Amino acid sequence: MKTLRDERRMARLTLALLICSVAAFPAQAHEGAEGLQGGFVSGFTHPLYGWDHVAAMVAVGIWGAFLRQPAIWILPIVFPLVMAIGGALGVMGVPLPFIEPGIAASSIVIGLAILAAWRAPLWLAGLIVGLFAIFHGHAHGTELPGSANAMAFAGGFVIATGLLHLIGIGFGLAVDRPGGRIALRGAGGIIAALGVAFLFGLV
Amino acid sequence: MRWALALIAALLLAGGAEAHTSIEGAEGFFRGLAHPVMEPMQGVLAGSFGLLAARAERQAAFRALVLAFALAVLAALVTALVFNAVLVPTWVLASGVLACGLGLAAFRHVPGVVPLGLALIAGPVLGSNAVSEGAAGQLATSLGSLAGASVMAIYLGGLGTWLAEREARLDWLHLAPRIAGAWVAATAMLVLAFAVQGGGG
Repeated sequence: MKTLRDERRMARLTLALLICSVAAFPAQAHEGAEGLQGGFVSGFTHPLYGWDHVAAMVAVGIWGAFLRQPAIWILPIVFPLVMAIGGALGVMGVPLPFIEPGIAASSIVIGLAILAAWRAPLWLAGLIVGLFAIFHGHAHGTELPGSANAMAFAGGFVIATGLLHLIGIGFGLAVDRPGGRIALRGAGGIIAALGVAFLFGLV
Repeated sequence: MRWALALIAALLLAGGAEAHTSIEGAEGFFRGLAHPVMEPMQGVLAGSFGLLAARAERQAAFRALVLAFALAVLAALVTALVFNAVLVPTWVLASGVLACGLGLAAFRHVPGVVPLGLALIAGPVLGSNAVSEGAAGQLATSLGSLAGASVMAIYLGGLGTWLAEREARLDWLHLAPRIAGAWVAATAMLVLAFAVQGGGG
């Protein structure tokens, strides 16, 4: 007879397999943005090449875990959508000012929010994250290669961003463990310091 | 033990990949069957619709919704074949994907009218986009596309139903299709932007 423990184990295994299958991509001898495979790989690796993007995406996930329900799941749902709006503006060539400072500021602000263990109201947290999502999305949109397969590139890009969020949430779940809260707040401080370094071009 | 036996059976039954089928004219059908995979927008549209149908307030409505979707695809295919219609542009397909993704992200339990309406819109869009160009094997390829899209909707809908059945014990499972819907909608937005800009292959 299946117990709740068995059900949870199956659910965790299924989730892990799903993440692995989504994260896996075929070995290939040739690189390039053209075609389905190349477009997906190019899109998937795009957010990973900028440490300022990686830091901010993980920070969003950690902050969401800090804020607990419902922020922990609202942020991974809302952020990709708002980021895609920014990305669409970038693709269409709509100019936005202060993109790079905005991206650096996202690491600073969200990092400090984690450091201070700031449990902002949901609407305010959503506003802050949404604003920075526009900057990140716009930056990605302007950098997209023209030869890329649109669907494959966009899919890879969105999945990579979402997985970074989930990694941040995974780290953030340590908030309930002994010493986890302090470790996460320390990580927030490091992310904020990185943001300052990005802002002044030190990294 | 059962998993090990299933794996052994799968390995023993595997055959060599063959470039050509022995049934004359069947290649077009298989080409159409693979269409939702080769044209990811179509596959994502069918799959996200299946997940959305699985979130219907009444689970019994799932079968009716998938059937409505398949019939809508068929109607569009027949219309396109008979009237030799032009392929639906990318932005229309992307809009259908966006609608399905947003519906999936926004609702934990979807009122039945939402997926029904999307079936009547997304089905014809997918069907019109799935008609193969060229006269040779058009019917077989189109029927293959219908089968491929329906299989995608059924399997992803089945996954959605499986998740929904376990939500009573593991409440966080409801987030999986919602997050998937957000990712699908975000991807569709970017594809729309590419289409408007006139680029992106």
